[in-house]
Amino acid sequence: MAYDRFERYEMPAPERVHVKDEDLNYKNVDLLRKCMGGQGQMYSRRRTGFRAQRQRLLKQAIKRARHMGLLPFVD
Amino acid sequence: MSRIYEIMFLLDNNAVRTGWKEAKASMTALVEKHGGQVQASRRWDERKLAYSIKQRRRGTYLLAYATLEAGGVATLRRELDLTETVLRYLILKVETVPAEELALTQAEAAADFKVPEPPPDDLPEPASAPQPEEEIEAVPEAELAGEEL
Repeated sequence: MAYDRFERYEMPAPERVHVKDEDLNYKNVDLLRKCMGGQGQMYSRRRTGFRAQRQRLLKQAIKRARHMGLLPFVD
Repeated sequence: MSRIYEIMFLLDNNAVRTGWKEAKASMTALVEKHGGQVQASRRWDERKLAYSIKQRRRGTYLLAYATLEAGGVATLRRELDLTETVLRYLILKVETVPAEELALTQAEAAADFKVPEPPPDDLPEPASAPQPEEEIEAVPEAELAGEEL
């Protein structure tokens, strides 16, 4: 049987972190912590399960929180 | 065209200790100096910083909402960079001032509102205690005499 690359398509993983878009801001430090590893690194989309738009909001929020000294760059 | 901006200040606790009202007034005065109108401003939190900024380990956050002209934002940024009591700041565009922020601002303006004193552990790290000089053991003279021979 010919190799069918579409057979390999998997459904995207469900979200591992449950959030609302409006909650993803730099002031919500506890929530952002859930999307970060123990050493302060941001989780990838594979680990958060976020779609692109939401991951972008997360990135923006984490970077702002880091600038304000709310989150570490490296712990 | 003027827009609404959310401005978060990270203030030096040493400035806050001299009086929260004065510290807040100096920040709102700064915004007004650059053509802004402060809609709401309140103490957001006082917390330990994730990393030390200018040798400070703790800081007080002031969250303000103000309408500003675009040109005013640029000059405000320049002045905030030069203000030593402001450790960090963040200016963001927002659509509206949240209603809860207005309510919290009013609550803070009330006479019985008490601002807790910042804890003292943001002081610069004390210089390490001078190490006691190692005592040189006195070598018995008899041994020295023996080596010489």
